[in-house]
Amino acid sequence: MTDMHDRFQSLDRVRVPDLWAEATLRAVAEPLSAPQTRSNYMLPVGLATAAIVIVLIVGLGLLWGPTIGTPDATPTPEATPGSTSSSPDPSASIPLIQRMPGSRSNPAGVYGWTGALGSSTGMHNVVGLDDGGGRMTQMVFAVEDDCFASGDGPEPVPVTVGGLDGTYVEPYDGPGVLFMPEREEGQTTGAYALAIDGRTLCVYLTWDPSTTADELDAARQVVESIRGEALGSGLRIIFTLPRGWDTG
Amino acid sequence: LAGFRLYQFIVVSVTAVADDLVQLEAVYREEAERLWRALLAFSRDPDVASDAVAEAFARAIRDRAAIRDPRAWVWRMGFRIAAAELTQRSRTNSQMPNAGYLETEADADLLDALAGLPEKQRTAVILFYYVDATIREIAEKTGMSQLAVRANLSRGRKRLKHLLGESR
Repeated sequence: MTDMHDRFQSLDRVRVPDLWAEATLRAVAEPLSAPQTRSNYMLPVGLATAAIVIVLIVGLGLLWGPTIGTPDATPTPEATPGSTSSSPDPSASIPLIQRMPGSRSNPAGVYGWTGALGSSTGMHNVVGLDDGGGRMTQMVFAVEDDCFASGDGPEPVPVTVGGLDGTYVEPYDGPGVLFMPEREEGQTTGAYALAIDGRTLCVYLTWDPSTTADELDAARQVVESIRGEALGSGLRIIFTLPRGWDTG
Repeated sequence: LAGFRLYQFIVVSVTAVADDLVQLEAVYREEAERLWRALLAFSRDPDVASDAVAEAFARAIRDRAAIRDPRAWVWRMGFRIAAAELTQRSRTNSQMPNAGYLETEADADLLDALAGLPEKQRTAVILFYYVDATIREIAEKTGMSQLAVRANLSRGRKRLKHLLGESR
């Protein structure tokens, strides 16, 4: 029990009126709701809404068949072995997956992102919320000519990450490197510039001071799982996430 | 036969309503005191706290069929009603909190400092320190996402300590 908790417990000295009778009086001041009636119409409305959503999803999927996939989707025609020469396994094609994790409760699996030159996206993994603080690991992907042009950090060092050649800077700070826009005290960002198919993928990995070695290692494994190929001026990548990452 | 079925329907309906009220009163007996004090810390006004608690439970009685978790729901609704009341009062500037009543009972410096926090930070801090709620429970009781709770709690705690340092 902290001093602050003790101070809040002073509230317990304040007498509390019994308001149950007033609540019941207020409740009957307006007609009581009819639960059966509500559930009777809510169910069909919900089912109808779900049916419309499913029809829309299936319809859009048929319309965009070649460009929208799932983790089990088959490779695209352009994802030929030759087009992935900079990827960890040059003989493997890149399955067409454009799905970033959702806003919450995402299963482990393969996810993907397609970005034009100058675009970026991000996600994070928040753990330990129930102990009163919580800690966060963030990852931002960007397609840039120079990943370190607009920020500050030491001289980049050459690295090979999961078969991808590139450079790495730590610590690094600059605009656009955080998924959560406000940097908190003690956070560190490591910035990768990875060469993929003649393009440069920037990966900005940020962790809290309380992030454990295992959690950081798991995040680095996500970076190592990245495979990609050029697409127009940009890149299409896939990567493997453990459970817990989201974009919410 | 039709009369008997009507009688059965009435008995079942009345019994169901009575059961709902018994369950909600149990929730009231378990939650209302802490909720009222939390709302007092939030508003610094016992009238706002009383109005919010009574109205939250009145709405819970009326909308009971649509409420899955009445314990979390009354907290969410209580804070929402109190926040709306404070907003209304700030617009009309109609009534100041009854500070004299509070000074004899609670930690006046703490309540003054809490009043200096933004609404969401204040809510998160009160639930964390007074109710001993976890981040998840605060999210359930307020309707904020866990990440928003974390951010508001982190900033609110820092700011509260700063404000209390200034007030000493």
